[in-house]
Amino acid sequence: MKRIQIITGHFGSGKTEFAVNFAKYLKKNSDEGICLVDLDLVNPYFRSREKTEVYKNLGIEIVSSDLEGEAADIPSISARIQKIFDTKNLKSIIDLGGDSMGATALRRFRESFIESEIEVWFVMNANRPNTQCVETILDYVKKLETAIELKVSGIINATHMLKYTTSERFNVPRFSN
Amino acid sequence: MNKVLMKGNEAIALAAIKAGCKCFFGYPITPQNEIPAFMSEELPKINGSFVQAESEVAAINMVYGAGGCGVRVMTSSSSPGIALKQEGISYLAGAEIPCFIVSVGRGGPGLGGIQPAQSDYFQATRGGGNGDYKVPVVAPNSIQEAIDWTYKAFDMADEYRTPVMMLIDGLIGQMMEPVSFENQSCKEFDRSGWATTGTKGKRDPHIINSLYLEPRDLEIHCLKLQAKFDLIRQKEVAWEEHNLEGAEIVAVAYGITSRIVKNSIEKLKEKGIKMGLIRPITLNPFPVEAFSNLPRSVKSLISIEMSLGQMVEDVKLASCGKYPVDFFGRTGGVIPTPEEIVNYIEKLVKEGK
Repeated sequence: MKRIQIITGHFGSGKTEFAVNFAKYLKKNSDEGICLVDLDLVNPYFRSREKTEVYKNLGIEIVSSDLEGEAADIPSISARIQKIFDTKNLKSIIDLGGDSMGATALRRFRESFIESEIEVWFVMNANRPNTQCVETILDYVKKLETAIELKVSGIINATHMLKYTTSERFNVPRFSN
Repeated sequence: MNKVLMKGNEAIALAAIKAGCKCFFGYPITPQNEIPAFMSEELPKINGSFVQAESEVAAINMVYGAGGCGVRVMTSSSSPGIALKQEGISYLAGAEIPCFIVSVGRGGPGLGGIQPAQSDYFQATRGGGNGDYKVPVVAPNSIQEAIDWTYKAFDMADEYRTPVMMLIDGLIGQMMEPVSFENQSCKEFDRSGWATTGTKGKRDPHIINSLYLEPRDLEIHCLKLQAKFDLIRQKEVAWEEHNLEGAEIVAVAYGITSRIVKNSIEKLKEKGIKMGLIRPITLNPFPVEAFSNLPRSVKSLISIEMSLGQMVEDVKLASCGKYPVDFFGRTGGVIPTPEEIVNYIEKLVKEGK
């Protein structure tokens, strides 16, 4: 993977679930600093920032809004996000909010993008009404690419039905560094 | 059955469109924003109208306009936004306009917070508008049930010519569950006798109004509204009974809290305490009948809410002093855990209450 991994997709696809577990996986296999950026300005609930303390104990730093309180309803972007672009030995995962509107938040950092450092993965769930067929998924990907001015290079198939889908249905993922 | 994974708010919006809703008027507020967002995307595709109004007050009066024309129409908001709509809801009830209003509760009072709460029970069931009016209120506890009741609510609105409110909390609005839209249908209604669809010079104008200056006329109008609500009370009341057989304590909980209570019931079973549940599905009219034939084993009732005690008053009224009624609640957006409910009930049992 590249130094900065952007995880995006329609809300409810499993982006945050994937992002936090991917951060844990990376931390397990590396001594480097891992930063998880909660850049979801769309969802008010079920945010990775809710687990800031848990991840701190695992050695994963969560960067979210600078405003106190996990329940703040203010779409503020933390100035601390800048450091993931500037600190070259830091691996980061950006949990980017759903839909092209939410993804626009990342454009604030457009000038700091070094494309060779950044990779964008699109998480999809074929049980969600808006991402059930190839055409609508590609349409979604295109809208996102336009919003963030970066190409999507990977699609994560996280098709699930919440607790009705068990882990037996999945293979253990293997990521190459 | 073909299932999809949907957020509560999205599912309600889609169900509304499938139920024939052609107009949505609203104003953004968390945690209900997915409803207007969905409507703004989908209504134009079916030649419907979506308007983000300049305020909640404007939005509810747009509902009055569209509903008066006999169009299936809805609005949605959250606690402070529903407070702003109260005047319009009174006018809608007075003018007998069918419409669907979704209230996605968050912590209050005032601006409060954005986390889920049930502290708008009084706001929904008593209402803050003026006059002798009552609005039917339904409170689903799952996303599938929210879909099913969206169809039913539109039908009820047309059948009784009344606003119908769905009261959920932020959690039902925001969480996701597998749902199905199959086996749903809506009734056809003839609105030609009252809707303002244009006289074309062939009939007297229909008038949508809530002004009756002659006291006797207004009294007759209010009695008509009251009779309508009595009919709703006879025909539409809904509730769920769970684990009542042999129960010593019966919890009363609605919406998401009822699901937390069901978990508590299982944990209490392991400790040898038998608790049952009455879950009101219609909050207004309140399911009074549910309390008239409880098993002889029942010694007390407890209302469990995400508020500091609102539905508990209806539980006391419904049980007519036959049982002591206790209360447990968290508020401000705090969600009670099954464990803290178990601890509270255990304490009650030990104290012999």
